[in-house]
Amino acid sequence: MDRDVIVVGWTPTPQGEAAVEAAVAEAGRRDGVLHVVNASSGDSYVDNKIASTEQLRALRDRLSGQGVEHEVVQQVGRFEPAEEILDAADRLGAALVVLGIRRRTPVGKLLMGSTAQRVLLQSACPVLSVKA
Amino acid sequence: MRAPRRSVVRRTVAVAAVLGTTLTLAACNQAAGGGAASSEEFPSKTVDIMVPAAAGGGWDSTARAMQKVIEDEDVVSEPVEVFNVEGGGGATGLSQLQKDEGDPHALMVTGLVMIGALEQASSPVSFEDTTPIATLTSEAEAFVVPSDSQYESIEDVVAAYEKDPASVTFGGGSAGGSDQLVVAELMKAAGADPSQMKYVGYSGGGEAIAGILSGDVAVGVSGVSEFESQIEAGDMRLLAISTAETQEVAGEEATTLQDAGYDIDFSNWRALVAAPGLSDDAKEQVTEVVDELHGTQGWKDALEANGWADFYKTGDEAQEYIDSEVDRVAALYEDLGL
Amino acid sequence: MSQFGDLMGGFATVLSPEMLLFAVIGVTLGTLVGVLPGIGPAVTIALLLPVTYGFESPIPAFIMFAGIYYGAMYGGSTTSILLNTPGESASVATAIEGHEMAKRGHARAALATAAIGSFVAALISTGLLALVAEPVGRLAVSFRATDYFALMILALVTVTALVGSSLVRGLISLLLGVTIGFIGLDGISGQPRLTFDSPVLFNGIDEVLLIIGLFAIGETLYVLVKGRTRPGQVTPLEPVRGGFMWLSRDQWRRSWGPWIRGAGFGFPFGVLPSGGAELPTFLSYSWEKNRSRGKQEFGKGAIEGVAGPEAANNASFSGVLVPLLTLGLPTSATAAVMLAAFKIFNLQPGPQLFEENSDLVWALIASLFVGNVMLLALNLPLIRLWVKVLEIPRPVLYAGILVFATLGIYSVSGTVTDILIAYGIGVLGFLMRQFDFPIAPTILGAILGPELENQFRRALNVGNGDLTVFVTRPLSLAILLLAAAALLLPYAPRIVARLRGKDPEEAKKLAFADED
Repeated sequence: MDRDVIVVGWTPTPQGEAAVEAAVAEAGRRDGVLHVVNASSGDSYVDNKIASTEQLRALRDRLSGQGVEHEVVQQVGRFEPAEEILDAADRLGAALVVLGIRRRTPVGKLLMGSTAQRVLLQSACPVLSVKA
Repeated sequence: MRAPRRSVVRRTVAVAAVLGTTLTLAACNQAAGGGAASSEEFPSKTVDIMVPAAAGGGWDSTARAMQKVIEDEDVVSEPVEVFNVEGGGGATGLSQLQKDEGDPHALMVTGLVMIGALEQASSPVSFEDTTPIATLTSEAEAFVVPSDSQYESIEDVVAAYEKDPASVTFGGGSAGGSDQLVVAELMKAAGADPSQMKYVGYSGGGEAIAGILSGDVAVGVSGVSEFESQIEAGDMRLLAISTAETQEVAGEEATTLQDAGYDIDFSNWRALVAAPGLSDDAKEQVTEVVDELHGTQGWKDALEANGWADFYKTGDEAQEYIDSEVDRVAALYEDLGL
Repeated sequence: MSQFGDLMGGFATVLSPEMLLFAVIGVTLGTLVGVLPGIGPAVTIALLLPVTYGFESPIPAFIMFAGIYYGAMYGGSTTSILLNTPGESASVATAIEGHEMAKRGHARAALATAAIGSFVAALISTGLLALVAEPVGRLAVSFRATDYFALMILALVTVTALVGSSLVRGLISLLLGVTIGFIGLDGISGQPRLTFDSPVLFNGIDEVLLIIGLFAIGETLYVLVKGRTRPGQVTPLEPVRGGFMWLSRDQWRRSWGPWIRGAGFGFPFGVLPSGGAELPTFLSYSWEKNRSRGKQEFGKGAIEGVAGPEAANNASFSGVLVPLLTLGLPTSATAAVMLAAFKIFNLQPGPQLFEENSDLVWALIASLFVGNVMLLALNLPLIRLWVKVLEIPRPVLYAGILVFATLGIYSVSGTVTDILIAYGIGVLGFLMRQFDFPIAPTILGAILGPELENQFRRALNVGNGDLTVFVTRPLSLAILLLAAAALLLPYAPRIVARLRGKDPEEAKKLAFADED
């Protein structure tokens, strides 16, 4: 049984929520499996994109409640989030990658880089980007 | 409790550079200057007055007063900047001045205290490595006691010292500085042995005053202005001042050491020097500027406000005076056994 | 209650839009330079001195200076908390717990308790300044060298909490600091010590160099070497739940005690002519670590360890103004520069100042209040911005710290030699971290060691070399006995048990400190 794997880049932010929401809908449509990635390079002291254990549990509970088959993975201090997402998509032979995006200033993008941009440019499979 | 106040404040100009990003500009200026300026008009660029000590001290006030008057009264067309280089009682600043050899825009405030400090630190650089421009101010040293002291006059102090040198504790600025030197000079003039002197050095005027009021020190010695408000308030009694000429202290004519029969004329003078190797022409031009500064009302007001006596000598007169002071301090150090 | 009336008169002078603007400028400038390592309030005030030449009255100058001072102190705490890079000795104690809090995602609370604590302490201490300046100033100058020596011994035995988990390592670190502190010309005789005949070292190792080297540079090297071999240490920023001004109800409850106690430590030490701001911060830290309700949290980011020292640090400034205003004694670098400012306006601080220029004194005291209100008003909203610093990736962050540290050193000394010295100390700081030696005792040693020696020798010099001077003066003796009690009391039950011939293990130790 080869069900589609949908990789979701998730952060405890409105963008992350938008991505999960879209991914759940997509999973329902094609009867896919969700692989949720929450990642941080671990380079800074504080990263608000990292989910706390409660937030991870809440997400799992919610996905279970919605009857979506899922796996939620948190990966800290290995690669950049974009690489983590691409890596997961590659490994699992994902059919789709879902990302949440937001409007960013050019300066902000220059300074901090953009995870979405890297994933979009480098992904081997289709990428669905959802605006929060 | 902090360690003897070291260098909290050092190079304010550079701080300004960091804050105001003029760093590179200043560096370019400096590079373009050095040595080449001798035949040009003075000043042809920013005049730097170095204070070889922390902000807030006597040299610092002198430099900043000069800056203020020069700028207020438009003595020169170029800006004047004051910066602090602390260290080694002035030795660090003096070494740094060597880098600007021949440049009349590199000036430094100095004074009697530096002679002692250089002597003490066996510094490789000396006053010979400067071009003296002018002596500017002098301040009399004051001998004070707490108001409940047993000493009524400076003779009482000398008498007690002659009987038992260990019975009188003197205190003032750091050991080996002008404050200790004037005590040595007094004892020498009185025929006593200065090397027996018990002297407690303090790192700042505030600490010294506290030491005198608390009773650790029996006789305080420092610049007149340091003690003026204590004398006025009746917490301290002025025994004598060290200059030959008397002055009014806290509303009363002060007794001089000469009045008391000791042949001493000692003052803590401050002077302006330039980097070594100035051409005669450049030296003259700088002197002209200082002459003009000295003649302004603003400078007279500054002297008045700070309690400094006018002590203006230029040219050979200044050179000779500084040379004689260097010899005198060396001799006193010998007597003190330092 | 004439003082109250006078103070209200002071406020009337100070509370004009123009004056408030000066306060805002001062606090903003102060915070900015405080964030840069090495540039402290004294330098900033000295730098702005020429600006005040143009003023007609000294009051705007003082308002600006008060703002700069409080701003700079707070700016220093900000970097201590966020980056473990204190810029001056008075914020070293703050860094210990503050940075742990930041690493655990509580940066906002740490910054808030520092800001509000500074405010509360400054209110208390300025109030004290207004009420008891005259008698307290008199009392403070009656302290003699023997009393200072005794007081420093007392401080030394009570700040053991700084030593950390291993007594041996803590003591080695302390002695290292004392040795570094001895470098330079000896304060009493003027003889060079440990200078290796190099004039560069005659003035000793600047406190600022030591702190920037050990903390900013040492920390950078450590992060550089450890780098990615360390498991990713990263947390989300903890949200503040049900709180007020970034602090939760529980954090408020845990902070107010340390604030008030910190003020209690800071003010008297500030008043003493050889006091200073460092010792009270260390004392406050030790007290909170041993006594407060959150003591088991120490080492992992206890809010008490930030609240107390920050309060102490700010309260000491009002203390410093007591001898300055009542006796004309400048007892810190900042006070010395302020004295210079008084002189520019032809004012002589001292016993007469309160009588002859009382309007001015009260305006100055009122401006301290205003400066603090401004500090809080400006910095609380800024917390939101400051914590963003923690989101910068470490490689970029530490490169930035290195640049600012180097610039900071160069700006205060203007010599490349000092930069090299600081980097040398930085390597030392790296090695100390690598081998698990605590850093704070080194700073304490470098400050306390030479001062202790100075007072000891001064006292002996005054007393003709007679060692009994320390026990014949009642005040010195009392303080020394207190020190002995502080040292021995924790072991008292054990000693008593042994004297009674019981098994010493049975007797429970009276815990003053968590011993290792």
